[in-house]
Amino acid sequence: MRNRDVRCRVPSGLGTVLAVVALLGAVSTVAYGQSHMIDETRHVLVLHSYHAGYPWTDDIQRAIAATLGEHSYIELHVEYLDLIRYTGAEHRDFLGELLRRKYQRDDAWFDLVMVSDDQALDLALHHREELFPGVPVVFCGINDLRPERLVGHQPILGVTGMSDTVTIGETIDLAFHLRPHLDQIAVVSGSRPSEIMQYRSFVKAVETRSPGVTITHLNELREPELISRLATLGPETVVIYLSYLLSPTGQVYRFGDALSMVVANTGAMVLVPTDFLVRDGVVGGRVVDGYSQGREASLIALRLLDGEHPGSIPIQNQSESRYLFDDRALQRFGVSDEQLPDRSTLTNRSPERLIESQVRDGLPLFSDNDVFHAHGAVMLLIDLGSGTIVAANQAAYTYYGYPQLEGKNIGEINTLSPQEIAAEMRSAELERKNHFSFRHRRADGLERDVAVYSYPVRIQETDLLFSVVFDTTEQIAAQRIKARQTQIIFGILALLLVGAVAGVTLLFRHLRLTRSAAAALRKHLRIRNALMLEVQHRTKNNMQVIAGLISLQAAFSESSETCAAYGRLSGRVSTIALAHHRLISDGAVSYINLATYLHGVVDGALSETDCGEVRPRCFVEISDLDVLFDIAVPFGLIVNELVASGLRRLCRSDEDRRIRLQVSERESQMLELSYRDTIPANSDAREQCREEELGMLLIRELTEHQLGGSLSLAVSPDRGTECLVRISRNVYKDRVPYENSDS
Amino acid sequence: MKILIVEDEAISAMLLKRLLSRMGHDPVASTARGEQVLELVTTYDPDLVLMDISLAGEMTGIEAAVQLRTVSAAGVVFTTGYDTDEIRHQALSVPRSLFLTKPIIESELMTAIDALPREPAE
Repeated sequence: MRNRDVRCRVPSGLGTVLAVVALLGAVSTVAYGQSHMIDETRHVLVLHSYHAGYPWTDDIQRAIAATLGEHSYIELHVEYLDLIRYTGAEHRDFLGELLRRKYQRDDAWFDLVMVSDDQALDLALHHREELFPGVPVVFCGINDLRPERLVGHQPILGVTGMSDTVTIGETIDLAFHLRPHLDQIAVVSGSRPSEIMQYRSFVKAVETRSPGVTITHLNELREPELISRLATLGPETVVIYLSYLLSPTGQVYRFGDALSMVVANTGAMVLVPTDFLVRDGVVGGRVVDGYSQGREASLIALRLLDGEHPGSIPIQNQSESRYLFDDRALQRFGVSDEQLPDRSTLTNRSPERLIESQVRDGLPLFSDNDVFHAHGAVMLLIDLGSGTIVAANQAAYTYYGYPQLEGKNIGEINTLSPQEIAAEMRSAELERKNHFSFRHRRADGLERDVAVYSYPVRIQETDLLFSVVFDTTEQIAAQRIKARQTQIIFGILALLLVGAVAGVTLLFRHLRLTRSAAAALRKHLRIRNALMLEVQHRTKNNMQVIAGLISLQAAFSESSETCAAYGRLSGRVSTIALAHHRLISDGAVSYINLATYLHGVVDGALSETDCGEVRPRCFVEISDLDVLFDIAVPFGLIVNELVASGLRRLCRSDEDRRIRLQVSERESQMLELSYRDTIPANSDAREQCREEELGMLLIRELTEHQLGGSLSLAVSPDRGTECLVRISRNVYKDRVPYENSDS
Repeated sequence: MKILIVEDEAISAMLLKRLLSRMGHDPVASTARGEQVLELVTTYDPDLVLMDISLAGEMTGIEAAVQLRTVSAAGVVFTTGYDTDEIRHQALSVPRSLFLTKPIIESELMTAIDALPREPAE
């Protein structure tokens, strides 16, 4: 017994004294005499026959927790045996096994066991010796307290009865009060052991009363039969509903479903002996309640834990009970207040009664009524069934402006339809939803946006809806403006996005088209360049062929004079052909390098000239200049005429003669050609004149007529020939606006 | 020096013959088609081939020169009016070859013939 060994932890001096007392033989006193003042936790096992959620059990547990739970040295261990929903013997065996495995320890450590209802008591007594031998057992809610049931299980004590013979009898009496012309009492009961015991209590109570009315026993009936029998009952019948959680066929019912089934299938007044059954149209009864049972049992438990000897505490055979009525059910059956017994309690009060009790009797609904009325927030108490306002605070009156709010239906304020309001109130009642957005109509006709926070509350045994109302009109308006602004912003962003996408798409399309056009252009350019190159080549080649043809013609001429003429003609054509060749070689369109070209012209003239043993000496000095093709060709022809003429004269001379040719740029854009040789003019003037007539004519015409330049020519029989040609580089304009064909 | 003229333009070929004769060489034969080069080389065993690059027929002068190299070590002087880096590079990849741009000038031709690498001694 661990707890009893360690309970006496006290200061050493005092401990010695206590030890002496113990040795003096006050053993039994010591065993139960330790009080909660000793700092040691007391463990209490609570076994409930039913399940959490069953109102009777919940009330008992609530009372135990409230009574014992406030003592910090008490620790509760709670088990719900769930024997309504699980009825088989197998389940009870499992429960026994569960308790054994969970609680069977060598160091038994429960100080007390509490049980609610008969089945938990049976189980506790059955396993008591193996699980908690000698530990006191306190019970409540017991129907069957035959003495033989408790033999051998001392100490055991508690409070009896869920609904015993006394309370059931008083409920039977009540039927006569409420129904003066009562002709029949029908009793409804199920097949569970506790239900059977309750039914026996009813039978016993009826026998002792001999009421002189018909007693109809609707006990242990199957559901269809029960319903059909209930339907036959007339208005002057009272149904006493004990419990119907188990049918003879084994069908298990939830307590609310069974009760609703009975009430819905009869037009007779229904009375009950248990408080939690006063609902769903049941009129009421002389009722016991789980909370009282639990509280009484807990007080007994506390006395035992405080060390009081079990023998000094009697079992309470009389359950605490009261008259409890459903106000609206009373109204439905036309029962007046005068017919009710003294000290009756009303539950589910009608809105009219709630309002009347405030207005006429000055009874506040709230325990702290000042807070309710003084609070600045709008507060309403609304009847859940009808939507009637049963209480409104001062702030509500100020806000709504109606002269009277109590008694007004919320539908007159709320702009929703009655069906919608009912659905929203149902959501609030079930606490599925507690925050609502409504529009409320005020006395001045204005409709305002409101946020309503509604929670179900139980006031004066009546379920009401407690609503706190906040005006959100400005907030909603601001939100609407903000939403509109957001919508506009998003619209603008969307437009920008669409625009951007369209822009990017167009850009890509433009790039694709540009790329395509560029490719086409490049292709066209390549074709054009190739064509131009081909034209240039063919022009050049054909001119070279023409020059070669003339040269061949010269070779086949018999007359030396004709041969010379063909030679000169060939040279002139070759000069032009060479210009075309340079144009291709320089990769240009309209410019050629003058130095390269004129060197070629001079070389051509030299190659066409056969001087035999005489070695012509030409000194050529030409500046590195690029000139327009239109200038280069006549310039080349001039050089060809001068040099070829000079070479011809030079070949006829037997002296060492030389030719000097200079081309350079003088001043601004002025080209100057200077030719000089030391070859004397032909002695035969006639021949020279004939020979050179065309050449001189060409030089003059090309210089002055074509190039617009100046010519200075001096032919001396002794000193040779001097020629100075000056032309402007700007005499021709570039017809092609770029210099290089590659650009 | 025995010289084979490969030139598609007859007039140019005639002028070259005259020019070479005047220079003291022996233009042994001429053709406008690359396909005939091998046969003519085999027949005349020239010391030099004056090879136009653009020819009549299927073959280019460069292809004909490459084929020629399988039977002869004769020097090759390529002549063309189409002077591009690519053509020049392809032409000069043929051993013992030089490159001249049309129009052919006597002095340039003379210099090229003199500058051509001699046939290696067997």
